[in-house]
Amino acid sequence: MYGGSRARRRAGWLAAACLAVGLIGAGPAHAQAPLPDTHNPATGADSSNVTFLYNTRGVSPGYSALNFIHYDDLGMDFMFGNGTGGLSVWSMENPQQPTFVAQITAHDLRVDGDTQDRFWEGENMTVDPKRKLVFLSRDPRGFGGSLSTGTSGVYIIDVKDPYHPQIVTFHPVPAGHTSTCINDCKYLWTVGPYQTGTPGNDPSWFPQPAYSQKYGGVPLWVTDVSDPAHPFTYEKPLDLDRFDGQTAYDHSVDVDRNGVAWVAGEGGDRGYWTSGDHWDPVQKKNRVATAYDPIPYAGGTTPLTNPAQDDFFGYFDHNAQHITQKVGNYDAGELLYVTNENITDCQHAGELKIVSLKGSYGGEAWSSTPANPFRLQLVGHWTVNGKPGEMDSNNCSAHWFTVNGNVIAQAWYAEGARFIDASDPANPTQVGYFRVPRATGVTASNASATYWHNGLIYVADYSRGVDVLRFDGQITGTPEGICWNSCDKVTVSVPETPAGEVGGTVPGTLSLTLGAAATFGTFTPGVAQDYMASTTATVISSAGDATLSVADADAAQPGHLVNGTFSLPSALQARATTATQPTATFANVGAAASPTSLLTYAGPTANDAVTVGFQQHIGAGDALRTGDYSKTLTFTLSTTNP
Amino acid sequence: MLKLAIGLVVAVVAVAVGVRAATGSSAPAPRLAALHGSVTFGVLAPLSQPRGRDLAAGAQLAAAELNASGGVRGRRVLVKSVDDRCATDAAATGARRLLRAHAAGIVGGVCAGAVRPALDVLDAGRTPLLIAAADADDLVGDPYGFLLTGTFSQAALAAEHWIVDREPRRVAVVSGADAGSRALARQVGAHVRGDIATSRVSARGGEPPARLAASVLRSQPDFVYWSGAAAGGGRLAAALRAAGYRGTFLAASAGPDLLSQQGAFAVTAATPQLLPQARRWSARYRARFERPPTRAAMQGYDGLRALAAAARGARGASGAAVAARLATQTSFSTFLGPLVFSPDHSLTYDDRIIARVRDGALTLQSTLRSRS
Repeated sequence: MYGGSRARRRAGWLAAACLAVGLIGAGPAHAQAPLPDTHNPATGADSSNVTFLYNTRGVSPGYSALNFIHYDDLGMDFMFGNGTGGLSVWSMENPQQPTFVAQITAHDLRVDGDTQDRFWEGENMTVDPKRKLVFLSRDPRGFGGSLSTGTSGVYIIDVKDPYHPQIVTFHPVPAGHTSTCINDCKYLWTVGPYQTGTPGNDPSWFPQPAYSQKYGGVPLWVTDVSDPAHPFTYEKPLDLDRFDGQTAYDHSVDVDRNGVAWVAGEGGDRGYWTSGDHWDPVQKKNRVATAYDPIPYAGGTTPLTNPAQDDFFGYFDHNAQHITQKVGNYDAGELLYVTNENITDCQHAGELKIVSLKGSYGGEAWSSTPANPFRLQLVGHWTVNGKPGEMDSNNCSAHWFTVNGNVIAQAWYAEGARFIDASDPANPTQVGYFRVPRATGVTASNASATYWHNGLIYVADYSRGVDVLRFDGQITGTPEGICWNSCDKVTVSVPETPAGEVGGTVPGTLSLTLGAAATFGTFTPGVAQDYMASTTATVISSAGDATLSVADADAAQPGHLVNGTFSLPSALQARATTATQPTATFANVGAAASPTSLLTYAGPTANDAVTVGFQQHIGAGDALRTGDYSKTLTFTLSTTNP
Repeated sequence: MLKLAIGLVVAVVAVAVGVRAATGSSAPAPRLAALHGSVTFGVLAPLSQPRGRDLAAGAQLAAAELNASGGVRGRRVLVKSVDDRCATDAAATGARRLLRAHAAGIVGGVCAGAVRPALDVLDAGRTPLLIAAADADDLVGDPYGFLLTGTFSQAALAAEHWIVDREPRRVAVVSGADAGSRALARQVGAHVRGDIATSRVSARGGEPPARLAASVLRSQPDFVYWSGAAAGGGRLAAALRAAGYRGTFLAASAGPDLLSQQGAFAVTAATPQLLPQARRWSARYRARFERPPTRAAMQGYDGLRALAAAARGARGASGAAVAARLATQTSFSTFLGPLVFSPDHSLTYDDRIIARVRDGALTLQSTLRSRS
């Protein structure tokens, strides 16, 4: 908690000047009364460097995944989560306490033949933020089905009006567990357990190598959702022969900020270009990549962290994220963070792996065989075993994660949410954790996924619903937006060129990333003093000019810190400096109608490190009320010359 | 009256089958429960024209088969056919007659121009109409109208999916001189342009095929898509061949001229003759009506069965209940696969297929149906 001001990130897009004004102060167009909700307490939580802020259950007892969409017209984000009970929608008007506003129940999602109201599993739920669509991946083990009787596919949900989500269609696909938007969500890549009886899974894809015989060959299926009411799945699956020449079990797809789609599963992780003209290291020629005929980029099987676990789980990579930044001594784009999932006791559980992609850019993974296997280099790995906050349980494994700078927020089932600093990738270190142990009246942690979003962490928990946390430690590295199956408020730009040409295009980019909340510490009553605090920001802009400004949307006491109905007499002041603009004068934080300009740019800039300073004067005669004085400010990066 | 005669024939056939089974086998034949009560569905079509006649015949065959297997919730399926004469007045009048007959759902709308007046009546009567007509895009979104044919935009998607499937290096999208052809070409071009190098050529009215072919080949495509009229497709394909083109040719529709172009593809609506899955049904239809089934017959058959399935699963026997069930039904399939409606009541999965010319005839190349 800030103790003084709180800062909230706002990323502005092209022509954001008008957008920022429209956002600030505008009331929601379709607001309605919240739905009844349940809030699981975190009584007895074991945590370090993490503050529990809130819990919400929504329509489902728990969730496998969350995602976020920003609504310009409503001036806020909405959070979406799918779980066994269906789809929940929350307004993020108060990001610390999301409000449950809409739902699609599991009963609503039933198709003919279903016998239970139980959706499964919808991990890594993907959304189309432009068309306002949510995609739920249906596993055959839901709705009373099994691997031999169930139906798999994807639900397409229209959330243009987030208060009234509408099912567009259920589209059967011969895979169902995770689906990921590809190429601006014109396509979905769907992977996961197979739908029995489909002709889509070729018996010749069996058997698997001796060290991997569990789910068999479940490749990737491409669905054209350019017309969401009329989806079309292509006949040819992708990512065949992924494990030493055998088709194996694909589990998830995550797109990095360069637009490369990483397919994780049994046998490792393989990245593919899905658009643009690229060198194909397998076909040994330049060609145009498409979502249905992608071009191999890099990847491979990750080494075992436990050589004795030479089986399915040892080689099962649950999900992977390509790190496009420089980390430690490792080049930008060299590292891949990987979840190896194996749910068991913590001594043997699946771990977080960090691998190097060096040596894998020549298509090596696509020519690996049991006789001549290709493996990526293991740089480091991390397990909760033996770490502070570990609980003795058999429900332990690495799971979904997101990365902010060098800090990985990862879900670990009963071990809760873990914060791991990977500044030294060879030695990832825990820097925080949050876990709720079971107790009377308290639902224990069973964390599925953790999401950094606008400075807070949202945990999709299979048992508790959604926990909202704040990480109180330091975000090391350079935060530049959060990616998982897609990238949260980060431009994914891929140079697209017609076949035969060479070149690149730069899409319009305005990116603003804020650091941790700033705090003044404790104000001393009766003593005249100026208090100082600061935070950081990172600016990326491709515009001809840009302005960073700050404003306080509070209509009652704009520009003043408040403690309930009490406000500080002196205005809160702010300034911003950079390496090229090292000096600045403090100015009062303006109201929404008159934001305070902090920095101006006369041209494009990339990863400009900004120090945002705050000053708060306390006069000797200022009456101070016990408690916290704070404010949420809006920072806007805007341009008039995109 | 034709309707009454057919009804009697159905009853006699059912009894005869039962008797033969009892005397011809050692094991006792299963006894079907007697049908009690009835549910009526309507056919609203130009009964004096081949398409309308075939639509009605397909519906009647469906009713007969349903009744032989227990009807709808034990009730006999009755089909009341009304002639709309492809005329607006007759269509509206016919729709009112069917409402008075308490039809729980209607198959018809063969003539696009006669659909709207009928739908206006049926919307007010809250009774669904399954529309067989092509070019019914303006009816998309009607609360009680359900399309049995794909829309214009789905025609573009069908072409795109097939083009993508063939993985060409460069596509030439060629349109005729008319506005519809150009609009279709624009949509197809927009769909594929992001992924495949694409060139656009628009034919001028009366342009000789050889000259058009030369224009097309300037961009050295390995895939040519013709969005124009059927007749032009065959002539263009021939001209391209004569100019040395050996790549893939896809026409937006198939005409007689195309049938001489061995290996050419066409986007076409599914017909019984093109679907191996429909062979047995075609034999049953031929045996009953002494003529081969047409697409209209298949639409009548599928439409009536879809209505029956909806009535079976509906909460209530009213048209409104059947319509509500139709809108969410996911388990009903035709010879092509699932018959599912999108929220706007268009087909979620288009009824178009890809046909290929082999030895002077069209054959099925792909149903364009998802593997699911």
